[in-house]
Amino acid sequence: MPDFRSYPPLEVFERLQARDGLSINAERWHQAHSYHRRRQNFHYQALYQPGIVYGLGVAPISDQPDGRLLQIQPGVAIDIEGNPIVLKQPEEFRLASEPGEGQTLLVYLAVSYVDPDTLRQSPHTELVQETFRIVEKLHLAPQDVEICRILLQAGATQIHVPPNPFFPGFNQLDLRGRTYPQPYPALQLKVGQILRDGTPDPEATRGVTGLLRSLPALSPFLQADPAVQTVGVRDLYRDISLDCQLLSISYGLWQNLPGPAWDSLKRYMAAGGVLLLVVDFHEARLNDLLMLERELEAGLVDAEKDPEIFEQIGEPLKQEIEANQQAIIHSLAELEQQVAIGATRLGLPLTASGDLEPDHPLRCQPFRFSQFPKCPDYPIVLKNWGGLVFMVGDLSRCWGADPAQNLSREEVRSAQEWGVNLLHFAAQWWEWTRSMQSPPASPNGSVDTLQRRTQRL
Amino acid sequence: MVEPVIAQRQIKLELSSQQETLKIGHASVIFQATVYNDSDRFASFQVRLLAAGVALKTRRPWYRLAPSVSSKIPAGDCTHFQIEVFDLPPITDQFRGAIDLTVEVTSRELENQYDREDLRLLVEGVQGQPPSLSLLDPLQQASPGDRALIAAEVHNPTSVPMTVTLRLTGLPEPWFPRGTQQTLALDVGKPQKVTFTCEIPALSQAPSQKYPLALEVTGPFPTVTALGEFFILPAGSLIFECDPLEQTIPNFGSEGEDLPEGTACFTLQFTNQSNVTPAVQITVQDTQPKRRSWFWQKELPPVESSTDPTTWPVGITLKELPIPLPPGASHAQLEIQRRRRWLGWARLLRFQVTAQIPETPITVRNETQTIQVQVFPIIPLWQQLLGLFLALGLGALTWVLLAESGHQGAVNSVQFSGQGREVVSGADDQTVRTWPIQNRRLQTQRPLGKFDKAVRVVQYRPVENDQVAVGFENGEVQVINLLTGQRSRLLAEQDDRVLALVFSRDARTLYSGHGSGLVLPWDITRLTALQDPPQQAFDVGFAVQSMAFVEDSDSLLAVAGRYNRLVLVDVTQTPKKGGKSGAFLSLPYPSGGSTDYVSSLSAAEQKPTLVAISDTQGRISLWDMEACLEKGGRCEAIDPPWLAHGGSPIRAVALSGDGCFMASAGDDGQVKLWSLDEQGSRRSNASEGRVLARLNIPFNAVDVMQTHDRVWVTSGGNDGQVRLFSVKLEGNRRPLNVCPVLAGDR
Repeated sequence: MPDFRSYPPLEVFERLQARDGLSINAERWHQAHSYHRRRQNFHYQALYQPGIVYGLGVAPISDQPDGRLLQIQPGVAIDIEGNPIVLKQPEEFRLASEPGEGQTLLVYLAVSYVDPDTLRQSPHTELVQETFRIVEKLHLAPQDVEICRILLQAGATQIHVPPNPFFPGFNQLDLRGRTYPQPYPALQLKVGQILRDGTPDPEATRGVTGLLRSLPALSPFLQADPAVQTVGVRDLYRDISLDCQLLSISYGLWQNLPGPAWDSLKRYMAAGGVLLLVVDFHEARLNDLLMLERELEAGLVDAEKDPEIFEQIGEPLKQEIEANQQAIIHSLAELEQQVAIGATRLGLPLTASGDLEPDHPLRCQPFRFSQFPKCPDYPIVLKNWGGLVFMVGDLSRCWGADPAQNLSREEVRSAQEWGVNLLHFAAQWWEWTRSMQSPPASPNGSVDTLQRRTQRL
Repeated sequence: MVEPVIAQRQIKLELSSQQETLKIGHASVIFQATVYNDSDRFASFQVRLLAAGVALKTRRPWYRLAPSVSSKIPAGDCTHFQIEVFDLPPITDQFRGAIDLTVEVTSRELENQYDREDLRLLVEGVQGQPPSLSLLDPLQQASPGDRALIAAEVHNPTSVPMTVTLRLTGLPEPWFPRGTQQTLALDVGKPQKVTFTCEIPALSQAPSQKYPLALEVTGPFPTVTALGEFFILPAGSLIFECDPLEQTIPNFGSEGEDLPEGTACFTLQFTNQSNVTPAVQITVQDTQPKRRSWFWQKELPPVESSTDPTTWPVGITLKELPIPLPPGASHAQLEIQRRRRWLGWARLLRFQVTAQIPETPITVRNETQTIQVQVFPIIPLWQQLLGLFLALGLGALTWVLLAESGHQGAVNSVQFSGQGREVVSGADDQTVRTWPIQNRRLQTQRPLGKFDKAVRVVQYRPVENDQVAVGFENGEVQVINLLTGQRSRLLAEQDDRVLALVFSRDARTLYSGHGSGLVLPWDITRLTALQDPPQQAFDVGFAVQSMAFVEDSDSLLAVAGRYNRLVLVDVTQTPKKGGKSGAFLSLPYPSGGSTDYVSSLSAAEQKPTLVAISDTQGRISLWDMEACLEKGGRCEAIDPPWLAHGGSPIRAVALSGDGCFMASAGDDGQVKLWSLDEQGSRRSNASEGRVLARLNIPFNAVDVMQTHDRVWVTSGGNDGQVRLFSVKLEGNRRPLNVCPVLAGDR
């Protein structure tokens, strides 16, 4: 998954107006040819992600003193602008990085395109080669095409081939970051989660991370940053930039949000962000009622098998189910009133019912749901007002599919499919809301560089 | 003219600046190095930073390259390195405020080629020499309530006086009435002594532990810290109590009084009046006096349970013991679980509970407590006595009742005696029993005889009723004299089981029907103890199941059995030797397969031409033989076969002497009584018969008898029971030759 998204430059193409009698000089010839080169780059940038087309393997060279000499195999890659990178013969490269005592260091090995026009060359050369360079870096630039990464450990120097390429260890070649050219997805998003303090917590974000990991297979047209942004409650009133499109918050935090945090969230939602409010069943005090409902319905099904028993207890059972459902509706209504207090502070009066219509995108795009998934025992309840999605039942527990939970494939899949609906809703909401807002003033000038045009997802 | 060849440098290095200032601890220095590849080949470049006087052995990092570390670039290309110096180079020489750095570029591919550029690094923020500091007693001890002095020595090694601030941390500030901070003017030369007065509060506010001490000197130099330790000694005591001191199992008045196990709960109360939170060790010892051993019991070696305090008596658990024990009051639960005996009297158990705190000088007051548990039996003593008497009474009763009982196996044959005073029965349990009838009940008697094989059929000798003939599974027939008990054995072929026995009306001949298809006529006028088989035998060619005489004269014997065959044998004729008796007369009974039998055949004694026939397909039919015997062949059914027991196989039918009643019994567990009219067909208003018994066990045998006001039916079934039923008749006075009607049928 590439970390960058490139946009073609906001630039009007100019062509050479050819006419009889126009004499060709080097400048005009160059102008005519660079037009086509730029048109080609323009197309590639608009449509495809960069990556390795074939080859470009990496192997440690044996029998050498410090074991840091690598051989890069011949191959072809295309960079983010669509420039070809061609390695015709194997190239040797020696890793230079050494982490400090007791530290580890992640280095990237990348190739990038070199335009011969930028080279200091004798002006008399008739033919120049479009060439490349090989770099060892701590941070990748947009133009770089990664061919491998290595987590170096202080002390040991020898670079090895990992015994299991899926799980490379220290000082072992890691090819998991290599990308391959493919079309850009239509929508992208980044997911955030509000936690009590802002330090990343793999346990709290396990569910969302699990969903994002399944996303490429479930919905290729939607791309998400695999890392979840964690936002602490304190960060919220420090007015940090929330650069995510979907932000989830638990009911416990929602109830205790301090005043400035509401303003921050209000700005976030006004800018097009979607806020997911998760109420667990026990927080809604629904556990007992839902369990009772399930038992009553099971009892009814049992009773229906025997007409004699059904005649006796069928009617009282139905009445009890009815009463229980009323109690559930009542509890939900109370909860909704509590939520409405906070929603008002976000500038979102909950006047509408919030129920999801049959053609609501959360119900049908891209996966059609008639009944919402269960997690783990009872179906979740959903409401939606504008950019606020209100979910009773923590579905994220089923996204993560913790092996200890022992969930069936169907449970995990249907929970994740609805999760895709949610991500899709958030991405689309953000995309369209942003498109209908006046653009913010550009801070400094209009210098158009690749750095500015690439956007880190 | 030849131009002088200038060896062109193949690597060119350019730095973004020549001088940088490093502020230690504030900001690092960042500058750019650009390397040009002026060679004619693809080459990789590495950048190194050198400082004059740097100890090359050190591995402490002081600069880094970012983002590029190393780069392999084509000829003519250039690459940028960003160099960040974030710390002082590890120099050995005296530091003078500025360092000369050298940036060096080398290449693997271009041997002996390099380029260097110099950079001057100015360093700010390096401080003066600090004073030396030491605690006089780095490992100090004191008890709660004490006043302690913490002393230190400060020495100014420089040549100028300085003002320093000393700050003591590690102990709570309120313990220092004069504060934990002192400002001091340090003279040159002589070391100076500083003291801090610490007043340690009483027990509860001064927990016993080791407090790390840190004394800091701050001033215009790097801060210096001296470390030490302050230990507050443990003091105080712990009070231990048990509540209550006596309990019962079960806990009367609460739940679980009937459970076989009970638990007695004791609360252990601790009052911690010390400045430690000790780990209390509780030991429980069983102080039960050793159980007295009876003279038959072996003397067991004494179990050494009391020596090891960590092994507790079984069933004792300690719950919620706080470890360590907080200051003030706290509790723990001691549960003693004991299995209650069902019987017996209450036992008193005694335990000694001891609380100890190992390895501290804290004392435990009342450290040993003795607790008692009364364990009552599950059944109270009065109930035990009551139960004992009841059991004795019950035992006596069963003894009386079980002394005489019925058959232990399936009953195969039953018959009323001629006077109707008695019933005889034979069963698989190899016994024959007689059952006198008293007050419409069968009375139990000792078995008439116990044999070594199952009894298939039993039959009273007519006229006198003083003998019974018994047919056995193995083909033997015995005639037993009921008065003398003498037995005569009639030995037929071995293993040719006897399925039917019929006496002639004059009681002189006994006919036995066998599974091989033979019918043997035995002369029983003179009985000997052992009688040989008769010279003559009739062979009907199928397994005989049932026989009956169907005429007044003792000549025509109806024989029925397998394949639903039913033949009439003229016993007055001498049977042909070695061949089937061809003169037999066949009845037009619907034939069947190898598993189909006519199971029973019965003729009315006073109307012998009336015959009832039952078969294993569940049918009963009634025939009048008179017509067909006269006509010479063709017999017609009075009542054609009907399914009498819902299709279940019928095992027995019996007609009463005057032919007015018929009883039937079948595998469906029913015994039925059928009322017949004078012609011998079923009465139209009672065509379904009257059910006398409806059980789950198949019935094998039935007999019916009529007295002046009642009809009696006896039956034998697979459960070994012989049953007697009686049904009252309608009206007392009846004309002769008119069949009576059962009460309730009209």
